[in-house]
Amino acid sequence: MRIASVGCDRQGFPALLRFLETFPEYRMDVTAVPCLGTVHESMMLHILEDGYQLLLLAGCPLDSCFNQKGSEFAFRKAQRVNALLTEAGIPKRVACAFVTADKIGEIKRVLESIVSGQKGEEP
Amino acid sequence: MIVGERKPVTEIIDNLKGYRKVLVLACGTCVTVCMSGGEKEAQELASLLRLKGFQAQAQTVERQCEKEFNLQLQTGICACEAVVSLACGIGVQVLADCFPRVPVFPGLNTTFMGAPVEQGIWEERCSGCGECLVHLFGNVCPITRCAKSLLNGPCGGSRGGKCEVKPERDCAWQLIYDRMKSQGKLESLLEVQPPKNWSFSRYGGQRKMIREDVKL
Amino acid sequence: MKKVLWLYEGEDNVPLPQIQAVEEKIGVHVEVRSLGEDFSSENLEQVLILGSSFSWHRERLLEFALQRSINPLQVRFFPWQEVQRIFPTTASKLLEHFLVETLKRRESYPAQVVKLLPERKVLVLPRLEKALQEVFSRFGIPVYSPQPPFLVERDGVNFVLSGESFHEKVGSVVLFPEWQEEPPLRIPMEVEETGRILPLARFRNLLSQKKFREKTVVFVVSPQSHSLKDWEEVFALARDLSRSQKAKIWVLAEEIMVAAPQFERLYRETRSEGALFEKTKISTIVLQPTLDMQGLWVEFETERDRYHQRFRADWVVYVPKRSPLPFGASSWWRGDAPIEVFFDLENPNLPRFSTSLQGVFIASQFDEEYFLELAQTVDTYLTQGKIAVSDCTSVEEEKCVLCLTCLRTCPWKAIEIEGKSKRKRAHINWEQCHLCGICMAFCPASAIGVNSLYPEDFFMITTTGSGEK
Repeated sequence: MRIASVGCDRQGFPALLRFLETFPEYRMDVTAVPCLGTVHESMMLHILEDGYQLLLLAGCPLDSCFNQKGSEFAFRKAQRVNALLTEAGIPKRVACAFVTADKIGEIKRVLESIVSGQKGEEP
Repeated sequence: MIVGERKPVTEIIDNLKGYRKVLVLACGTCVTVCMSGGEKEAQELASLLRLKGFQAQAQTVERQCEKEFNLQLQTGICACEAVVSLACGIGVQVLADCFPRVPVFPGLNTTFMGAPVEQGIWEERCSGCGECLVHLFGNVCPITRCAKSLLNGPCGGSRGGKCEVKPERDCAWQLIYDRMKSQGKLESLLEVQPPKNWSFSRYGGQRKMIREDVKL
Repeated sequence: MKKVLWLYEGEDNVPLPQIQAVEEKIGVHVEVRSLGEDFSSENLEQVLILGSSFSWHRERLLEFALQRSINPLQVRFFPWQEVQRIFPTTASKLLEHFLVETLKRRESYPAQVVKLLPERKVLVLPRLEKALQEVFSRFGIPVYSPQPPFLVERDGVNFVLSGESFHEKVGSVVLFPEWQEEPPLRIPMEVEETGRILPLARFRNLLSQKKFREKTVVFVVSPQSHSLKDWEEVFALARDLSRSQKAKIWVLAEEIMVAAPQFERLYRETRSEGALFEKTKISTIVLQPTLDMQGLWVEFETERDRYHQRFRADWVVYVPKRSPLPFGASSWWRGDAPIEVFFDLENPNLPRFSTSLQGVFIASQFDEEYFLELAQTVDTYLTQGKIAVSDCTSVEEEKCVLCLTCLRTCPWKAIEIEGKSKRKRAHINWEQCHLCGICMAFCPASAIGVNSLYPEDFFMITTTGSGEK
């Protein structure tokens, strides 16, 4: 499964890089944005159009975003995109992981739950 | 402003069966402000359509209810097989008038004329009844905001300031009462309003306004 | 020939072999230096910093650009340390591709990083305590507290006050908000006449006078009640009344406060005494008097399973909704849109007392120690100032539909509507802008551009190593 991930400058991006170092069995294409709030629906869909099955958004925990609600906005937009994708029957998804640069376990948990969910969907 | 909500994606995709090259047209005025049919939403829909196998492009028209803005699309429209218009119902029809041979599908369900009460929430305020009498009701329109469009006081179902037809909505007459009370004009509510003249409203067909002095 | 400077942090392997390839490919001269070394900015096309993503985020890049007086849009960062470890075989290729991509998007915007220092003066509203004035004077900061009416306008990082007879510029504002209280739900006249519904403060006084044995008491907590003291009191009362007087207690709120330390324990203790907690939308609770006017019927729908509850209560106690009284300034900020809310205080990244409005601080207590901390924070702000980037954002007048979304969504309240002619547009104040890009993400007309952000074509560090997406 091709995974793209976007992380915020402060916590998300360093967390993603540390995750890739710690768990070399996972392979993702990564990029950084200043704040997760920068990521909007068109951007998410544009990335998915480039051949990725999953887009992972990694950002600061909801109550400690420097720009107050950046992570929360991204989460809501991701939910909206997922609703559209489900409705249209497109087998791609956007997932969110709220992490700090030191606590990267959440990324693994999110990825695993998606992968196992997908396996469950296979006939 | 006019508020609409995007149609379910499945409905749009069903309508487009049999077409491949699709143009998604956004409108840059009302539907942009209520975030249903603006440039961003057009790009989203175009992305979704592309993921479903259509050849979709997104474009924005300043106002789809003006012929001159639509006619600028001449070349773009000829290159596609179908158009999904994210304008309100007015824009869809004017666009179709400009290009009668192109299949135009509405992408929005146009719902009401309303205003934002806070960021992200829009509420209906006007039904376009053609005879505005809000000043008699403390500037709260009973035609629009009362579920029964009553002109003479609340019905017996008003409870706790909420409407019995739609319990999550405020009772318009409660709002009217509170407003008139705060203005000290409660007595005027005792005047019985005559039945409304609905001939100015849409019951009777399409309405028209003519200004002879600005006609060319 | 234009040159690109590679500044590396630490003692990592500097990818020397690749430099030649890059130089040939792009036609620039690459110079490699260590981060602390000096360099000349003559003919400088770009500076690429190679380091660890843990220590380089955009603020540090801006500080760097400020120190060296370079256009901040020319400074880029590449997480070389991590990429080398994660992609050992393709790291150099990724770096090369990154450089090629970023040079392709050469910024010609003359942006500038500036350190803005506010005026060393403070405005205190609504009243100035002598003790506070004294504390500020110890820090060498004059304080100003005029009589209303006056107008407050933002001017860069400063605030300009203008009244009938004065005109002052201050660098910071300290507010002591006064709160007005109102019930969180509609109380019809007949309900109020029963005398069975009270605010928490009045209920406190009643405790010693009335008996609550086997009575039903309902606590209704306003949705904006972040006051921990109020919640503590509600928990304590609920627990004590249940335990000692065997009263039947309900606590209705939109969110039960368990997030603060100790509160989860308090919640569990209270529940174990038999108090019932229900989440419901407060404004939809319906109250009606009982026929004997000695009690109230309470009706609501639980949020969890939409279960309709209706029962008789002997007392309804509400924690009021608090809203701040206006400050006597007749208007805040120029432009058409008044900025109403500036009491969001829970950002752990901001120093104590700070709000999301730069330079505006909120205080609530009146003792010496508190004043000292407050003055210290304000002094630090006035001394350190703010690093801002000019000419980095743009709003396309032709596209802006004046939907006001950006104005409402900007976390730093940096956006105003300006324009005297019919054609108004949103205007981003660069002095307050933190370049977060949230306005750009929300703008439905895509009218906002933030020059250092690339909406669609941002660079991806790819696993294939080719840099191709």
